[in-house]
Amino acid sequence: MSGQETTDKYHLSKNRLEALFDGIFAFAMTLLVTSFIIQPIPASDAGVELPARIAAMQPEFISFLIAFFVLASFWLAHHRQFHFVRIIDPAIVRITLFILAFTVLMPFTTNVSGDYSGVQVAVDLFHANLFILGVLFLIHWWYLVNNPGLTSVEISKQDAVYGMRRALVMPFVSFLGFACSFASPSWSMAVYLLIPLVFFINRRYFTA
Amino acid sequence: MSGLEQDNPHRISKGRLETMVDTIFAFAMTLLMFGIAVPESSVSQTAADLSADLVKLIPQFVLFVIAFLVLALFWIEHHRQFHHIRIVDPTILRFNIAILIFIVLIPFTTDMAGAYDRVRIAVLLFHVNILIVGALFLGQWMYICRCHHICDTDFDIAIEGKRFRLLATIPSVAFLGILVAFFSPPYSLSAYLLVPFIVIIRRLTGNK
Repeated sequence: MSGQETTDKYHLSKNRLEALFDGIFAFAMTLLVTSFIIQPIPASDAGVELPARIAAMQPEFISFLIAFFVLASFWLAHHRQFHFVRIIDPAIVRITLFILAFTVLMPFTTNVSGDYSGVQVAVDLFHANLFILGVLFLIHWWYLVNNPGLTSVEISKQDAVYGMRRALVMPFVSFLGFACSFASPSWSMAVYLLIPLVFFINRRYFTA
Repeated sequence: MSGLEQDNPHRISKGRLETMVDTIFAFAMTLLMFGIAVPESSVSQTAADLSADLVKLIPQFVLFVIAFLVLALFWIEHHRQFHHIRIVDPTILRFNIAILIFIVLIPFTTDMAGAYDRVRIAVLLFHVNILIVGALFLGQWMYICRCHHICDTDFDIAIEGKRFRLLATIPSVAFLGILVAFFSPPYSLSAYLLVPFIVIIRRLTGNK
């Protein structure tokens, strides 16, 4: 722990950056629920119309579930990567702020892709958002691996490769989703079901 | 506190998970307020109609108070359970993510049940939501009692094991609500008024 870096008055503490990150993630994950909107129905028709309206919300519900689980796994990934961080340098702050900017967009892109699940542009917005987030997390990990001065313990070669492989999953899957959206926008959301499978294979066959 | 567990990068720290849970609860509790929606009307009409409109909001307001207090109870319960936990293992993490997803849904289901308190499906959504969260808390507690190696050493299974019945209160009240909803949707929401009575009776009879 070098005293020089931690007493710098412009130095951001790791705890505060983590707190900001957690707060924004929690806020974005909760805001996802605002995508469920049912236009007011007069009380006399509500008994008949409401069940149909709720059933029609199925694509929005699927988008909500995917977005929630993806954000939760990004949050866990950040936690794993930040475990190694000792000093916050300006580059880490910048990468983190970019991650947060695209996290804040998630409730919007989730909402749009849920409302217009059959429209390719709407669904591609969602895929693009996740692709960018995935790439940013990849850059974050790559930066930590290549700057051993910032980490508390040196990241072992094995951890580095394993982390890279994990971080590649999301850009890969969202790109696949983008490709599938040309065939069927609404079915392209199903690619995210691959994630647990890919992680399982990764853990089972590629860890020493 | 084994140093090995604390340094494992794949373990989520208890502090960060608690912050995340607290923030999502706080935000979900605040979002409940959006369920109370005053119908828009032009300014000239307002003076005459507003008081009538406000009277119509009474069911939404009552449900807001119920949902807020139920969320507060869940939050306190989370605090109790986490008081005993020392390590966040993958199962606890999964329980928490599942709990959070249904907590995030509560503002939506409360909104539905408040706006359409005479429609069975809308009220059922609310009851089922509460039932699932209650069941998840019960499940998490059963897991903690069964695998108490993740707990602090002073965890006393003989005393703590008795909390099952207390934890079963909310799921059983929600279940009662579901049954009553088949006869009268609006009155089924008053099932939650039983919760304070059950707690008081339990305290008077000496069961904690």
